[in-house]
Amino acid sequence: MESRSGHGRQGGPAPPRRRPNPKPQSYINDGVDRISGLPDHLLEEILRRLRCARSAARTSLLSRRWRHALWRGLPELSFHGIAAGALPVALAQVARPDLSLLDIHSISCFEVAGIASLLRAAARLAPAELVVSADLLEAWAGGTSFLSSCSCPASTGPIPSRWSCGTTFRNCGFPMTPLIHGVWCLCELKLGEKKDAYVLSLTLDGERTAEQPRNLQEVVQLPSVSVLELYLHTFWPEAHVYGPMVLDLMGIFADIKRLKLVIRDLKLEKACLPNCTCAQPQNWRSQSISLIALEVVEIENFIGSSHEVDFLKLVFRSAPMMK
Amino acid sequence: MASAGSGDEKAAAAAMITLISSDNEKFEVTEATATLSQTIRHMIEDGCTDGGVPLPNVTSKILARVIEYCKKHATAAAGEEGSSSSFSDAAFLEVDRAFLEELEEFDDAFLEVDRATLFDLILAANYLDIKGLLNLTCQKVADSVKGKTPEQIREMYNIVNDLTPEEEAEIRRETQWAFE
Repeated sequence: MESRSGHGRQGGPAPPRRRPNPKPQSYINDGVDRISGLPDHLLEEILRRLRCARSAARTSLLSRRWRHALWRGLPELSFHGIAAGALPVALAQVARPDLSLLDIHSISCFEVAGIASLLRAAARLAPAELVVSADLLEAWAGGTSFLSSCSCPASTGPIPSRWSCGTTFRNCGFPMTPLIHGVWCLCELKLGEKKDAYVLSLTLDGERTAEQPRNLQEVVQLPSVSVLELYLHTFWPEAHVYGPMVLDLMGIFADIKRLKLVIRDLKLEKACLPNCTCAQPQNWRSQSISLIALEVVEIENFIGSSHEVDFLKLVFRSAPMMK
Repeated sequence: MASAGSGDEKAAAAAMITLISSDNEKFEVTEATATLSQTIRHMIEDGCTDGGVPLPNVTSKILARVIEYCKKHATAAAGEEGSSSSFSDAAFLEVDRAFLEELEEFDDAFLEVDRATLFDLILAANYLDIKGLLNLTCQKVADSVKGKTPEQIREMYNIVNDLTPEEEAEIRRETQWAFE
C-alpha cells in the first residue's frame, strides 16, 4: 500500500490536512522511567532540541541521574532572556570548550564592565559561531573590550579561525546607537575572516538621531581589514546620500582591497532636504582620498542617481590599483 | 505489512536484504529502504549481508515500525526523480508539495505511539543510525518537556526524585539563573 502513484491528484488545491486522531495510546502509563535509562548521548540529543539552555539546565533538578549530566555538555547553547548579572555565572558552568553555537540574547541593559566580563566568559568557550544581542548603557564603548578580548590581533595574536567567523555584535539599544556620519547610524558590526583577510561588515541605518557623530575608531578598535562590506538601510522616507559616509569609513580603512555596498530601500520617491547632514561636507565631491590598495568595488542596487555617480568617479580617481 | 516478496517493489531489479529481529523474525526489504540505516549501509558495503542481517537489539515489533518509516522515507527520496518526467514544472512542484505534506502527516501519525515504543524507537534509531528517525523521535520528547516544571516532567516520565532536600537546594543555588 506504500506504492501509491501520483495519479489520484488532479491538480487544484490540496485536500484539507487530516490530523491523526488525538490522544491515542501515548497517555497509557506503565510507571517505568524509560527516559532516565537512556544513555547520556541520547539524553543530550533530546536536551539540545529544546534549543534553550535555561530549560535544559532546569532538568538537573529532576533526579541524581540528571543532576550532573547533561546541559553543561551540549554543543549548542542558547541563553535567551537571562539577566545580565547571571549570564557570566551561567557561562562559567558550561563544561564544553568547543561549542558550535553560542547564542546570547539578553533583555537587560549592560554596563561596559558587564559586557566585558560576559565576553571574557564567552571567549573561554571558543564557540564556532557567536551571536550576542544586547543593549549597552554606554553606547558601543563595550565593543572595544569585546573585540580586543576575542579577535583583535594587536592584543591576542592571530584571530583563532574557528572563533572569528560569524562573530556578530548587534546593538538594539535605541537611542544609544552610535551615529557614524550625518544620518548614518551603526546597527550591526560583524568581523569575519576569509582567506586570512579580515572582512568587516557594517549595517548602517539612515536614521535621524540627536547624538553627536562619533568616529568609528572611538567606538570600536578594529584590526586592519581587507574587505569592507556596508549594508545601507533607510527607514526614513527619504533617499540619503551615502558617498560622504562611505568616504569617511574608507579613510579609516585605507588598506581595503575590496569594497562592497549593498543598498536597501533607497529607491524612495523623495530625496532628502538640500541641507541634510548626509551630504556634509558640501565639498565632498572634490575631497581627496588615497585608496592605494583598492582593487574591486561592488555595488548592489546602484540606481545611478547623480550623487552615486559622483561617488564612483571619486573612487575611481583615487584608486590607482582598481581592476 | 512488513513481510516480503509481494513484488510491488518494481520487479526483481531492486536488491533485497533480509533483516532479522532479536526474536528471530525475518523481514525482507529493498536495499533502498535498508540503507536509510547507516549501520546497515556499512554492512552492505562490507559485503556482510548474505544470510540476513541479525539485529539483536531490535524486537520484531519495533523493527516493523522502523521499516515502515524507512519505506516511506526511501520512497520520498527516490520518488522525486521517477515521477517528474511526465509533469510540467508547476505540476511537479504541486505534486512535490503535496508529497512533502503527506510525509509530514505520516511522521505525525507515526509518532502517535505509547511512551515505551517511543523510547524503543529512539534506541533503535540510534543503534541503526537513522538520522531522520532519531531527530523525529528526540524532537517529540523535547517538545513534550518544553515549558514544563521539574515536577511535571517527573510525573510525565515516572522519574523518581532521589535528591535530598539539601541537594535540591544546592542545585537551585548553583543554577539559580535557570530558575529565576
